[in-house]
Amino acid sequence: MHLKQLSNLTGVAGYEHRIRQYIKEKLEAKVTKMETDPLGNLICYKKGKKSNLRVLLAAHMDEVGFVINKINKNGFLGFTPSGGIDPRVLPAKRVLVGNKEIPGVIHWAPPHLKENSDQSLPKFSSLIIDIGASSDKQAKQKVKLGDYAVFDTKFSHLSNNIIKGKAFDDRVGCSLLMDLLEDKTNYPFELAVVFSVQEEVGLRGAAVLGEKIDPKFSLIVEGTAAADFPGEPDQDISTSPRLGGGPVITLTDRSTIVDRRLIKALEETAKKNKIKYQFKQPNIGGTDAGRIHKSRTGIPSAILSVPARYIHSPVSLSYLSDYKDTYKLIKLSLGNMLKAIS
Amino acid sequence: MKTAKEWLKEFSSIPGLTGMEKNVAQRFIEQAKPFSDQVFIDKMGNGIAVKKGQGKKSILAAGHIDEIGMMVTKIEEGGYLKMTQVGGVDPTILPSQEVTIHTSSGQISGVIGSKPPHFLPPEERNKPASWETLFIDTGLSEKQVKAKINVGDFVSFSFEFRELMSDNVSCKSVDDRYGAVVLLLTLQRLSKMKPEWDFYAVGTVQEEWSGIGANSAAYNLNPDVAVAIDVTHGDIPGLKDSDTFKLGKGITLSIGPNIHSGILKKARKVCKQEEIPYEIEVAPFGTGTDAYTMQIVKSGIPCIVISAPVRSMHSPVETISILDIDRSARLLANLICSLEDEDLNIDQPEEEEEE
Repeated sequence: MHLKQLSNLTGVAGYEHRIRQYIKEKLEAKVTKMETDPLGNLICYKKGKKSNLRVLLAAHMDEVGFVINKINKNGFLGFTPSGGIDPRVLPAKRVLVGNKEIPGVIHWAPPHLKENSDQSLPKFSSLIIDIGASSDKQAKQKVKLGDYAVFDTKFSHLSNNIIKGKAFDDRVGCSLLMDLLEDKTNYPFELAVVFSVQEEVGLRGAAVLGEKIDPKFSLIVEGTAAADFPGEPDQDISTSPRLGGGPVITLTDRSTIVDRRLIKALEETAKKNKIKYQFKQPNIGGTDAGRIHKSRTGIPSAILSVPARYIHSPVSLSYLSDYKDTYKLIKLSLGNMLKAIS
Repeated sequence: MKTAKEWLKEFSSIPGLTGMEKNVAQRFIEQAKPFSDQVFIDKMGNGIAVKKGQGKKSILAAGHIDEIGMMVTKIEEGGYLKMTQVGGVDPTILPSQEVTIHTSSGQISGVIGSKPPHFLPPEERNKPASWETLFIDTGLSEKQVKAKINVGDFVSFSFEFRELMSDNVSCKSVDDRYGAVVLLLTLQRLSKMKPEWDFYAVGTVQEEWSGIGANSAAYNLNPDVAVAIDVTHGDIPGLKDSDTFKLGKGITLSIGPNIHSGILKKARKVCKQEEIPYEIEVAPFGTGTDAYTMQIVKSGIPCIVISAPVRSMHSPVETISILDIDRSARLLANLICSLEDEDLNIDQPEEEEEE
């Protein structure tokens, strides 16, 4: 499992080079062929027994974060989001700026002065990153416009089973697919495993994958929002992902109506192998499947996720047991999914 | 010899919410011991170090060793915890903060959870986070939580230390471990100086709540002068210039009814002599520090307040300049060595109040 290293690495949409580099180094010797496409997607092929059947698996490398869009006279940095971030999670947080991972802090008005300040609801337009520079000149020695920034959160275990870190969306998926490629199983079909770019800014990287790879079907592996919150009001949603509930199967989200044959194959495989599973609330979020299933003449696509609480925030929580169950289900389902759509 | 940075990092890492300052007090007297004639922890829990002069008069300096944080108020279904503030905490900063719960059987890590916007009713989506909507998530099951955590357990922000540019550092509890560190640096300096007055360095408890620590220490030690070493507000966009001070550009000295004009005058003189940059901080009512408490102890104690600006006060990312910490200690040590009886005169000649 590479989740610790992947979670600690930094890279928002368009700046995935560090993650790509890490995966490349670790997998180079384990795959048949590896290439980086013009957008930065890292595509890994692993030959199977019947090479004409190809299966696409994808997880995105980018994480939500920021891009520096202003360097103020007094040395503070203005920033804008990369991906969907609720600005209410930003006050009094640590960040890392740029490739050099310059430490910075997002400040917030102290309670003593709140009445006197114009900070009440956190907004991107009024927040700044403080890297300690006392002038724009000093700041520019370390940071330039267009540098990215991410939350400064270190991966750790809260217990054997509970893991904490940033960017579980979707470094969890990257780690699972790395595990899959490192595994020695010889499938009767070819694996095309893609570590994709720019998912968080509109599923951009995945837009070119179907065309190039032309798979029989695709499976997107994600870290998805758990919704097992306290005091949840009655909602017209009967199934909410919860930690410990096992892999999360998507029925529909805002980008995809998942192919029912693939859902059935996933469910049946889970039942047969006694793997717990659950469904994601319909119509929330979107994944690379949104692009891939519409590629060429249509590519049946499914989405399987590890539940994580507080994704798109500085810190997420997940259970290792869900990670392991998700891995098991991916591995055992691939053949059944191929059968289901053949 | 430890540096300001080393000591701040060390003291920031020790949890010590108001009412649980014991470990901070213990470390404080342990670190003060090599530079002191006597160290002890008093009845209220204050950590006290005594540096003897010639015994004619005495000066007390207080840096409070408690920190703001939270307390568990309820265990919810599913094992989530509800909490309230200990000292002033703005719930706006709480979503996704990492915290440590201090239970009778040890520490448990957690994060502060909040619901993403699409789980909130539309009227809640554009409001800052509130105590009603926030909760602590340990990831543990309800059963595990109930076996380990009790209502009333303290919750501190988890410790992280970051060095920024220009000698600035960011961590929790700079308010007011800055004060404790200034006291230690002052003791370190005094060990190479010859103060005439006795010096009491006091790490006070419960400043964030009632100031009772400073009250009892001042009552017990009955000094001729008392100094509060506490943080003031640093400059960030959105705050008024008149409310804040620039980081790393110097310390502040408060002025107002809480401040003794004679001692302040001497402090300004020392700053000038020692080339310590400072600004005057206007406090027309109280100073919001231990000086406010100590001024009216026993028959009345002349007080001043020495401060360094801190950005994001009362948060896990309080940011301070190491330069300002050193400056504060340099002022305090030199002030102690230059105090004279006439500085205690509250009626200082007006014409000399130039600057």
